[in-house]
Amino acid sequence: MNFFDIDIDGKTVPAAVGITILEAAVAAGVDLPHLCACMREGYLPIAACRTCLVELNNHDGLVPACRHSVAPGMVVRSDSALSRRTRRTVVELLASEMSEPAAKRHPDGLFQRLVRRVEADSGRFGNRAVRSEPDRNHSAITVDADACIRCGLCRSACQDVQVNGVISLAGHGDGLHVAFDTGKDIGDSSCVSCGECVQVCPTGALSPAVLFAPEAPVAIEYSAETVCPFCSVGCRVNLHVAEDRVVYADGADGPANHGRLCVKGRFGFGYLRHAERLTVPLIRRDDAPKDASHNFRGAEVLEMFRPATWDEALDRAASGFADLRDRHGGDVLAVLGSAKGTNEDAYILQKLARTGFGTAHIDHCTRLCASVPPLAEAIGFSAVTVPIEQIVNADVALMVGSNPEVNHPVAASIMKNAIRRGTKLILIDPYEQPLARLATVHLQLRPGTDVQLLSAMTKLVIAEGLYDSKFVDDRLEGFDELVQRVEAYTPDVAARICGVSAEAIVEAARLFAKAPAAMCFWGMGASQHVHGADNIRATIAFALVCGQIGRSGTGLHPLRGQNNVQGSCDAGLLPHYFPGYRTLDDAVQRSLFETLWKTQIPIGSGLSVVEIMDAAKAGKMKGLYVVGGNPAMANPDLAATREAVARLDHLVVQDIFPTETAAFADVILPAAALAERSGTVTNTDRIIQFVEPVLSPPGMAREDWAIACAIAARLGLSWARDSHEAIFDEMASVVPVLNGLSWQKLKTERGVRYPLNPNDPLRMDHPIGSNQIPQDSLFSTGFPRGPRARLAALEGKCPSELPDAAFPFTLITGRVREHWHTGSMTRRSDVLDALSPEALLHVCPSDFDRLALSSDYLVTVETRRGAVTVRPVSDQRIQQGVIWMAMSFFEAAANELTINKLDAYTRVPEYKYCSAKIVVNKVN
Amino acid sequence: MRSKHKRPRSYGAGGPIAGTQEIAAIETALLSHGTARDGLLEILLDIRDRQGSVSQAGLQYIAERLRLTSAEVYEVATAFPAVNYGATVPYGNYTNNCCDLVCALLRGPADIDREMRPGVCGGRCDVPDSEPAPRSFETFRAAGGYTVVNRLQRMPTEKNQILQNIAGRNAVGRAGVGFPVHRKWQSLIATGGEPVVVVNADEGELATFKDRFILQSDPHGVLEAALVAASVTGAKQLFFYLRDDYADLHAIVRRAIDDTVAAGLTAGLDVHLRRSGGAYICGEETALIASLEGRPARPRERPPYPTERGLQGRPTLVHNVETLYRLRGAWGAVHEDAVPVSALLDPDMLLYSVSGRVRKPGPKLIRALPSLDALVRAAGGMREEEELGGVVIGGSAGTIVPASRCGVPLAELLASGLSLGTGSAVVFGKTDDIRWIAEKMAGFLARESCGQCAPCRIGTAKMARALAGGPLDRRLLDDLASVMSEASICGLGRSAGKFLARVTPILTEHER
Ligand SMILES: Cc1cc2nc3c(=O)[nH]c(=O)nc-3n(C[C@H](O)[C@H](O)[C@H](O)COP(=O)(O)O)c2cc1C
Ligand code: SF4
Ligand code: SF4
Ligand code: SF4
Ligand code: FES
Repeated sequence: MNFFDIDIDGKTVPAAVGITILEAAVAAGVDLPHLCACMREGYLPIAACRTCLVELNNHDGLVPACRHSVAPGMVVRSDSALSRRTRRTVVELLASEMSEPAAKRHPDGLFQRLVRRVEADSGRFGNRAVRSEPDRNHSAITVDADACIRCGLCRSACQDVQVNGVISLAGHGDGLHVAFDTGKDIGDSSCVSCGECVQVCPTGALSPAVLFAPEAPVAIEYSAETVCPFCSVGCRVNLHVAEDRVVYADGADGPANHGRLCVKGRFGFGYLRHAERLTVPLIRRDDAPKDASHNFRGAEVLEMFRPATWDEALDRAASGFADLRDRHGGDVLAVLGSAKGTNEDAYILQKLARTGFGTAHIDHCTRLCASVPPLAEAIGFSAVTVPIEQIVNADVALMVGSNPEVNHPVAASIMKNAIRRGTKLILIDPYEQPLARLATVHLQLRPGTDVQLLSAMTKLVIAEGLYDSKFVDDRLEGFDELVQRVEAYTPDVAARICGVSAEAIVEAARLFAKAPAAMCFWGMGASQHVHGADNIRATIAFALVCGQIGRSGTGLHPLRGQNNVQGSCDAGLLPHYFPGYRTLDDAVQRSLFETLWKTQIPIGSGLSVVEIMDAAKAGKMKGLYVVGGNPAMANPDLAATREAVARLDHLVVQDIFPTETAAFADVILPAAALAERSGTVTNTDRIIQFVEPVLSPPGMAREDWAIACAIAARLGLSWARDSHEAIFDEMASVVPVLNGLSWQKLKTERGVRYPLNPNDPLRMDHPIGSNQIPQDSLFSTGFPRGPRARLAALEGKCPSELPDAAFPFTLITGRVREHWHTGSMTRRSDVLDALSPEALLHVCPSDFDRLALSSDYLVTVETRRGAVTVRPVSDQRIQQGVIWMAMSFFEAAANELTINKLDAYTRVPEYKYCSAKIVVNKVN
Repeated sequence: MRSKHKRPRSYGAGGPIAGTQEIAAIETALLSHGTARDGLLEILLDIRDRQGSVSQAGLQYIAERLRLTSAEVYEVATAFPAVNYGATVPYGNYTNNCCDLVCALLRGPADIDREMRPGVCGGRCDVPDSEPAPRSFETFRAAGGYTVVNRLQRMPTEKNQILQNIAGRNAVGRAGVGFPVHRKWQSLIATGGEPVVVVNADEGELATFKDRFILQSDPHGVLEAALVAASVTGAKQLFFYLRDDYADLHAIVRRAIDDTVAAGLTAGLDVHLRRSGGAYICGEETALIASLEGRPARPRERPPYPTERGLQGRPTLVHNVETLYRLRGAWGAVHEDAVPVSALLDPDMLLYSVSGRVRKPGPKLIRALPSLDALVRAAGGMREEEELGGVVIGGSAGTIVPASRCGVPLAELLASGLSLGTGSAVVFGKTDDIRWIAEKMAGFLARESCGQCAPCRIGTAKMARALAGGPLDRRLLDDLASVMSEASICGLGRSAGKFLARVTPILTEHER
């Protein structure tokens, strides 16, 4: 008897074994009073507030509905005299925990509504004396301890759900209190500002700081949902709007986030109404030459332009491209899109490039992180084989070169939930990142030695017979070559090269291979090397010889970067693929598109992001249309990049802000931000989500696809009057994984995971299990490329610039939790910028002391390409000889330093390795 | 709003770093207790013993070594008074550690404020003339002790016989509730898995010192029963959870355990001696289990009962010291004149902790006590120039029996609902104010509430405040009593409610 009915207050309510009375009630729409229970995923019953007590037919006394499990034949009474009287007194007691002024400060929280609902006399037991004023020292969160009723929800939010472990309920008896770390102020604590606690606090004791700010609006006018514009987790957010701006945000119940958010998704909406938003089309003034000597930003950029009408700007933009195309051919034109746009933007942009510009040089920022191509090479599929949430079914998770706590925080919370429930984590990363605390094995290897480490692990599982020989026989090719390749790497050899113990290598390899189900993740720490593809190939090979794919809790998951990386690639915003990863060199595919688009398409593959810049620098590339990208900040070796963009004859930049790249534009076109528009975006888990505008775009700004269509129209293209819907439906017809989807379907369902149809043209002919959602862990038999996956040979490159006497440090770049990519949005979100206002150079304590550094004085970091001035900090999580910087700060742009060397296969730059020196100059 | 930073944000890793001396103290503690979370309380107590208390930076350091967050460590450190976190004076021993009811009776309230750390009863209010010397391992063995353990090792089939005997004797728990022992054992056996046995020697109840008396006299009697319990239930782990304030008992119990281990009596069993955290709630079995796991001593909702899901999710048997000691009758142990406490092997014998304004306070072994007057007489009668005012029976949430009822046959009092609880009796005089006594009892409960659940945390505080002075609002007190007894998670809050319900009529009567 797994399912049965119970009776709650006279209503018949369906229930299932194992759920609580409150869960049954809420699911059936019965509004049982409760307070310290949160129904969202990850919350466990706290059962401390005692407001949900109910009477049962077969039980003496009251039980908490939030904890007590249902049973067949149960009759629940929440409205009996005893339970009502008890509840009212409990609420009255709770109300006495707030000081009088605090109660007045928060008249409308969940708790205050409960007070009214149960008709409690909130003054009956008096009020707590005033003890403290609200703590307003944290930029995102205000703590009003006098309003706290010690329900414990914030503790649960921080410990059980987001697993950040900052908040505790410390002390005992009446001294019980919410504490941060070891009793610090929140502003000095390790709080990562995810705001989960704020979202669940029922009293307002924890609330968004903006609600306390002098400019806080009187009331929220409306709330509406969109998808977070930052990382690829794809969290749904609910934006609360007043006076045409987002006041604060809550996590909405999206398929990827279940109500959770991270600091960016929750506090990063200030940029939408930032004063520097582009609101009118701009044309470069004749008296403003392009100056490549340094980066310009914001207002400085605007000074070089004059406003124009849309017509003038579009004419100017389009004719510039048409001229160059007609004079030199399409090959001198290039388009750089962005993974921040929608699927429709990406599709229309590549179509414009291929049909209107007549060029194959079309790429976007995914190139800078691309971690998928080696996966496509191995199995013929360009998306994750298994979504993140399957990690709960994994016994072991292997994570190579990824720091999800910072870069995919909500995904990290789901991983940490799984680790709490028993999944063992193996971490391969030079940095002692936050997840390391929870890892079973952390292989803290020397930067750039991933291949050797993974080779040793592979050799070990083969030598010990722990690999899956049946899987190898039936479903892999290249095994013999692999055996040869890893032959030299005993644990001891790898230990010497990688700087980790041989025992740890052996332990990790055995753990993964013996696991009934193991998942494998990798990120930019693996891909952003000249040997990035090799790192990933070695990872894939290790996972595949262990047969860890195609079952629940197994599979390969490259953690994607931006919010629509997956969709932009699917849509064909790539130089070497048509939409849907159809091969450019295949005549059949070519004619398919030529028929569909009724025009000829240039032959051969185009240049990638960095190569386009190299061509521009060499004068071969003459016209560039940049939509949402920011190469003058994102590309390696910025000095060279600036020279390149400055040389262009015609540069059109379309963005929401005057970016560093816009400083070199001829025409700037103002675009709408994601929260201001409709469209679809695809997250790392292959979920396509539908968004609708929450705000209207500022001034004259327009949606990207509409601007691209207007340019297309001026180039005389016939499809220029498309709608979202038409674009999506055309795309869904040519992108195999999208087959079966339509705009209308997405509009109704809001979020859909693809592929819908496993028997699509990609031959994903895996059987559909009876109770398993078919697309959850793909490829239980066969692969899109055929019956066998290919273990590709390695190219065997080493880091291109090793430390030497002149440049003794290894510089690694990355990101901080509060900022996204080049910082164009997050640095303009006041809360995020206040939380993380400046670039820091992380140095290990021994180097820090040896060089007599101090955080009070700035230092100069220098490489063979450039120099920046930053504040050094001592960081014990970093290895000796390594220094680390985030890329998001224009004042000290890490990419002034990075090296322009690409992985030959993925064409990803080596952001994570170059040599540098620190010059101490005592200024602050 | 925080403006642009003055200093780089370090995600809480900043702040002072633990000094070398403290690090040495921590590392020494880690050497003996390991780096698993369950040793956290012991680690913190070790550091307290060494240097008074642990610093904020020390907590951070411990967190890193135990791979916990600093918040987890802080939560534990602040939940246990014995850790002494943030205190400026060293943690006191029992001479200045006081429940403030009995001591106040004897020494006057002013002394308490001045000299004493109000806290859990120090278990010393008996001020005994002479302390019994513990019976040694050799003497205990010579008297036939531990033969049952050897028998069980050789003949596992005897387990059933022992279970039957326990059931036959109707042995019940002596911690206050009186649950049948054999039903607990059977539930544990039925659950299966890897059971754990815990000797609850926390004895935090106000004015109660019976367990201390037993352990001080005959520690091996308790240990023998615990080994039998482990053997019968198949436990592989035995915890001896001893009150931290009973410092002198630690050596005795430590020695007793070492002797049994050396004699090979504990084969297949891990025996751990652990200290409690200096709060009354530490003795509540689910809170006790939490503290053994290195978590704050906060009770857990039942069901599940500890016998189904206890320590680390394993079935766990928690027994009071006296319960175990008395069980020895089930395998044939009998009263020995040389060991007075062994009189408890007679099921009708009761052990009272008598304190207050009597001449000879202390543990009293009495069979078939006729009345409370007789108990006062057994304790040497009232002190000079004092007249009996009444007796508080059953500790902090107990019953105040006025002198007028002390002559009533005890059987009659019990029949009308009096519960002896743990058998503690605080004798007060005519001049002592009942309201003041009730306030002290309420104050004890409020201070000892773990604070986790709203009705008890706030209810006990409001109760203490209401009893402290001013007119008694009958309706408010009734609601408070009801909400505490109906809605609290554990026995502390629930019994506080029952106490208030009992005492309110007496006080209103008294006020008239
Ligand atoms: C607030 C509170 C404090 C308690 N303290 C003790 C104690 O110090 N010693 C003890 O043996 N039991 C104590 N108990 C009872 C235990 O929870 C548990 O019932 C007992 O250890 C079971 O032993 P028994 O079955 O032998 O009676 C306490 C209970 C409560 C509610
Ligand atoms: S801060 Fe809010 S969520 Fe946390 S305990 Fe207090 S009232 Fe509950
Ligand atoms: S940045 Fe990523 S993890 Fe954070 S809220 Fe946005 S989508 Fe979610
Ligand atoms: S009743 Fe009191 S002691 Fe028991 S759990 Fe609740 S607050 Fe803690
Ligand atoms: S909601 Fe059930 S006790 Fe708080």
